[in-house]
Order: sequence, then C-alpha cells, then structure tokens
Amino acid sequence: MPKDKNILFMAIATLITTALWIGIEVITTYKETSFTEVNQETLSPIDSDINFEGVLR
Amino acid sequence: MKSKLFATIKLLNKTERRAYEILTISLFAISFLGIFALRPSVKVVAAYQKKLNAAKTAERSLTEKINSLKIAEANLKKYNSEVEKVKIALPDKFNQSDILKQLSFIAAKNKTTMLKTEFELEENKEPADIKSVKISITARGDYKNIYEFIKNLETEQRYIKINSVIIQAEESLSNAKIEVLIFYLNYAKR
Repeated sequence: MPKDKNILFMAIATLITTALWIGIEVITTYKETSFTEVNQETLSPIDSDINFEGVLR
Repeated sequence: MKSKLFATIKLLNKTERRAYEILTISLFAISFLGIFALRPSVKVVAAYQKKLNAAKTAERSLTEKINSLKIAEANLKKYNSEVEKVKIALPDKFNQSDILKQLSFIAAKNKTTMLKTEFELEENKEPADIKSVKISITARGDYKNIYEFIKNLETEQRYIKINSVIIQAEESLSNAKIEVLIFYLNYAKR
C-alpha cells in the first residue's frame, strides 16, 4: 500500500504542476497578445466641442 | 466465521488498492489531457479574450470619435457660410493680378483713377502663418470719390487694412497716396 500512495502523491503533484504551468502560460499569452487591427492614431480622441462661433466672432 | 472475516478484510484491501490505482491513473490522465488538449485551447481562448477586450475598448473609442465628428460636422454646416467669408477675407494664396483687378474695380466704381500701384511682399526669415503684402496706391479723383474709394476698400470682403492716407487736395481733383496691407495664409510653405 505505501508504494501505491507514493504513486498517488506523484499523480497529484503532476496534476498541480500541470495546472500551474497552464495557468502561467495562459497569463503570459494574455499579456503578450496585442490588438493590431486598429492603430493607435485612429483611436486618438478628437475634440468634440469645436467652437466655430468663438473663432469667427 | 474467522475465515469469512479474513476473506472480507482481504476483499476490502483489494478494493482499496484498486481504488488507489484508478484514482492514480485518473489523475495522470487528467494531467496528460491538460498538457496536450486543454493547454493549447486555453491559450487560444486567452489570446482571443485579450483581443476581444481590446476590440471592445477600440469600439468605444471609435464610437466616441464618430459622435465627436458628427457634432463637428453639424457645427461646420452651421457656420459654413461664415467660414467661407473668412476664407475670402484671408485666402491661402496671394494672387497679384486678382488684387489689382479688385482694386481697379473699386476705383472705377468710385470714379477714381489709380495712377500707380506698388506691391511689396513681406520678407520674414521666420516662417509665419499669416503673411502680409504692402500695397502703395497713388489715386486721383474727386475728394468725395477718394473718400468713398477708401471706405469701399475697408468694407471689401477681402480684408484690407488701411495703413496710411495722404491726400493732396486741389481745386477740382485731389491726389491721394494710400498705403494698405492685405494678408494671406501661409500654411503650404511651412
């Protein structure tokens, strides 16, 4: 029975290691992924309150 | 009775060992499944999730920008005629013959003769948004007509700044030396 228990602990350790590995890889992938479909210049805001009246008076 | 008890304990031990074995195999199987099947899928999901979040933010920014542009367009339409007036008053290029035609027309309208017209371009070393041209006009005509000519120059759609006026009054006709400034935008040359 002790031999079986050791193998069981190894299996649990493998499972935990695997879970940690997947977790780290997911976080790394999330951080490294960048959104390149729209460039930052396009996303730059524009002054919504263009006051022509003030300029023309 | 005793042998039956031993048989039961033996059976229980066997069952427990079997349970351990199944549990161990299951845990290893889950680990392998995680490494070879779950990991790539979860990575793809994470990447798409990040892109989705960024796209949502971009969509919000673009919607805001579109709204701002709509407001700006509405404002521009509202003041379009005013903008046109500004463009006439301060054009983006200087055309000497057009100016000369314009001045001649105003002079003719006010029965004034332009004897001499001199143009002097402003020479600035520094690039400027607005450049000016000095025009010296020597005009001859009736005093009242010269006065009307100057008045008309001031009320023209093209902005004309009268710098100085020297009138030499005579009995019938007067001579006037008028110095004016006209302006134009200089964005293209920067």
